[in-house]
Amino acid sequence: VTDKSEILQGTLDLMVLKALDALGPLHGYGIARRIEQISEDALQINQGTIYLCLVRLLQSGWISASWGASENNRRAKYYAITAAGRRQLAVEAANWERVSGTIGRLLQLLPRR
Amino acid sequence: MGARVRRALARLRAFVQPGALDRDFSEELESHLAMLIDDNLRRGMTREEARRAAVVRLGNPASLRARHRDVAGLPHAERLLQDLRFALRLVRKDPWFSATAVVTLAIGIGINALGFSIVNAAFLRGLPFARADRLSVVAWRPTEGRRQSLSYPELQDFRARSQTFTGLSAYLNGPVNLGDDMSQPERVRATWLTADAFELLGEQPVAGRGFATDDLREGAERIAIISSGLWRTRYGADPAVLGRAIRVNGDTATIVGVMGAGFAFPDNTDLWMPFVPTARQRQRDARVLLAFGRLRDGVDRAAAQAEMDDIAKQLIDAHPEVSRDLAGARVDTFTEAFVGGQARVMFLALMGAVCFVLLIACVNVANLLLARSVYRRREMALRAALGAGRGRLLRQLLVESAVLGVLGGALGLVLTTAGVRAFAAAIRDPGKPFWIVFDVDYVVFAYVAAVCVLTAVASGLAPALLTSRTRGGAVLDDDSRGSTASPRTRRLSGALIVTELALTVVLLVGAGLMIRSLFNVSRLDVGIRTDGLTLMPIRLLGPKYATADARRAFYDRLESRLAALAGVEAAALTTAVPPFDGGERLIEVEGKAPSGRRFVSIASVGDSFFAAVDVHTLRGRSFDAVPANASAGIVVVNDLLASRFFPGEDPVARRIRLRRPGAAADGASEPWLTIVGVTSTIRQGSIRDRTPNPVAYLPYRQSPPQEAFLLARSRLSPAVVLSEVRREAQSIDRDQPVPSIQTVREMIDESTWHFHAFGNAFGILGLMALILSSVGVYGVGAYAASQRASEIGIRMALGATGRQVLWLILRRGMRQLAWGLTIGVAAAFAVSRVLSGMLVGLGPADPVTFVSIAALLALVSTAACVVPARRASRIDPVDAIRQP
Repeated sequence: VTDKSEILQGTLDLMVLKALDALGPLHGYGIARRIEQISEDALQINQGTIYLCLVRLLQSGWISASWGASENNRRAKYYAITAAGRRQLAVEAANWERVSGTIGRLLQLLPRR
Repeated sequence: MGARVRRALARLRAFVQPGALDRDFSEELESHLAMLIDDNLRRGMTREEARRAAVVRLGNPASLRARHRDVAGLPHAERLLQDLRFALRLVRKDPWFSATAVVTLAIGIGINALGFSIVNAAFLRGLPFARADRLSVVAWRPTEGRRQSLSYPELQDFRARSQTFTGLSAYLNGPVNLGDDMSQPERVRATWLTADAFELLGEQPVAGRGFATDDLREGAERIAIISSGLWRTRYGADPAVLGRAIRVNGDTATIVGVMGAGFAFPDNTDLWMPFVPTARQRQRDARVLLAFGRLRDGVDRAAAQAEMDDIAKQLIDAHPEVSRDLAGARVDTFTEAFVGGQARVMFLALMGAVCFVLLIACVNVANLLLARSVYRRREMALRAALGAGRGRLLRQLLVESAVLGVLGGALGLVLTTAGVRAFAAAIRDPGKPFWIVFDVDYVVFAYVAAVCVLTAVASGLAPALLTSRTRGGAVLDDDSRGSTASPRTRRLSGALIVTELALTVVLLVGAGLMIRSLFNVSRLDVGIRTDGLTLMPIRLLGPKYATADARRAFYDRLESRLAALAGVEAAALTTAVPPFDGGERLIEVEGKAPSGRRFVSIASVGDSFFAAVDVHTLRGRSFDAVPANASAGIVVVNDLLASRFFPGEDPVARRIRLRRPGAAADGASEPWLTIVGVTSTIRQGSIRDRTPNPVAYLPYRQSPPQEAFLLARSRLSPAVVLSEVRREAQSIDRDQPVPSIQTVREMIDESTWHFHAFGNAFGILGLMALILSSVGVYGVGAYAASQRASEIGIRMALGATGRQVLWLILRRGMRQLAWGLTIGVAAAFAVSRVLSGMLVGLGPADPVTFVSIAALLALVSTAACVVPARRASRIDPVDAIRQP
């Protein structure tokens, strides 16, 4: 159960930060839905794992949390990105692009025959 | 970096208040689930379907909560806390087991920490001055012996050439007779210090001033600084004491300062004066000063030692005529300089002994834990089956023994505190340096904490390793009735018992040797009648007693006045009160070639000495029958000297010559002495002599000493005798103190004090070891017997007799005892040699001690084995087999 989430840990952090950055404060369910939608349901995560990621981000001070009311008037905990979180997002995004660019180029190499 | 710190703090916060965090998360999951269900309902699912799908989507809430807690809090600390809670529950659940283990550890740790407190005070703590670890004592290293003082010119040479010390001061110690116009003259310990000594120590008077350079000029007005104690006791804490005139050995001086409470540098001093060298003390061979300095920052002792050795060699080369016996320099700490030799060996032996007691306690607790482990095999198997790894089990078991260790340590600290207090009250060694204070300080506290941890590991590790060795399910299906200790457990338990017995033998042998020494000391036959015999120290000090004639005149007048006192049967001066002597000499008999052991003890005595100690001359005359003006050149010897050096002859009227050991060998300068009488043998030597010494008694008039004792035999109380003697002494010299009186019995007891103290200490330690190890032997025996109850029942049902069963149980214990005794005796032979310097009248391999100790331990351990074995042999077989 844990393997997938561990592999995804860094990626998940990046996705959550990006989602909060782009869409403003969201609750855990909202974040999970958003990520599923954007990945066009290709990334079917166990929704609970999102909270393990949120705890880490909270502890690092990259996001903040507060209780509020949802659109259906349910009590829900809302997460928002902080200034430190934005800086972190920039760093991680740049990192990601460098890595994915490298891997992309690597994969485009033609096999030598 | 910032994120990492923030994360750690957040985890700590979550760990401290786990409840709030859990509730918050549960609520969040609840709301998440509700939203999922809402969505699912909207998609047209039934309520039941919607709920099930939502739970699948979210994941198992219990597992999520557990993982959340791991991420949010401190999972390791949390598990440790869990183990701790469990361990405490176990302590309460099994009160007898816990009490036994805790008390055993408390005794072990308490006694060990008591020993450490003593060593800490004597060796580790050092002087109570700022950065006292930088202070060093500097002295010559002679070719023979430990340490030789410096002369004033040498001090100046060392000071001028040294780069490793920031300063080099020196002192000279000695008692002085302190007089003033207020109260009784009094003898106090005085120290003459070079001018910069107080600065070097970092101490100054709390009232008045320290030494100024002007005070060191020759012919400057004499000044003195007094201790806080003297200020209180003699001057009633009078603030007007500054400027008061006193007489020190008859010379007038002015008090200019009072030191703070507790300052008594270097050695219980009450009076300090500036050291102004006399003409004699300016000479290079007048070595009277003990130098001390402060090491420069960044210089270690080895570098200082090397430098001082270099300087010493230069000085030896430059002044060979006064440096014949010198090899180099010595740089020591104050502790090394003051608490050396015998005391060090004694204290370290004590420390070794208390470590043995602690080890025995650890072994006992290890065995207890091992015994319990068998009962807990099912528990361990269950834990393993539920997924606990070996590491997890090990940690839990070690936490359990740590809890026992900490509880034992806490109780032990109480024991230590009480013990240290009792020891400090019992110690009455007047030679103890002022900075040795026996108490429990933070160093002792830290030591106890460390010992607790060590104890927990030492007693818990082996049992924990064995107990945690389990396969899930292996024991679960096992019938508990058949569960006996595994061979591995039994072997370990046996080895522990053997170790314990061997340690006990070593400790008991040490205790036995010390106690037998004490016994030998207390039944020492001095050879004199001690009842009604008192002694008073007299010292004639200062320039007015610089000549032999002045001293002779004082003693003569004092003796004749005391002879006239009513109630005093006899009074005499002596340089040595039995059982001590006044030095050793090499004897030479006129007309015989010197050969063999020629050492004899000497004592200078007054005319009535033999009457005072109630020993009668056997042959010839005593001194009182000789006219005072004819006392030159005569000697009285004891019959041991007579029989050794004049076998089969009459020594009376023969002549002998006495030479100082180490003096020039020709000895021609020593005068011939005519033997006028022979007395019975009085023990005069040292407490540790196995046999009496040959003694030569000289009339003190030949060379009146500066220091002597006045012996008086009287039926009056010592206090009355003292006041009478004081009055007479002060009518001759108003500044002459007679500081104290002691009965000879008290003096002997006091000089054998350390034999009593260490004999009792070792005795108590030995007893503790014996009790602990027999409790251990008994416990293991009883436990083994109870474990084998059903086996024994079957055996008896099949016809085994009680005797056979008894032997079955006993055999194992006897084998362990044999091994324990063998190993223990061998180890004791090897170890007891360190005690040899402290033994009186016996050697370290004393057969009586070894045999009786072995017999004692064999007896006690056999009893401890037999009791449970007998109980086992009386089992009712039917009950035993039916027992679940």
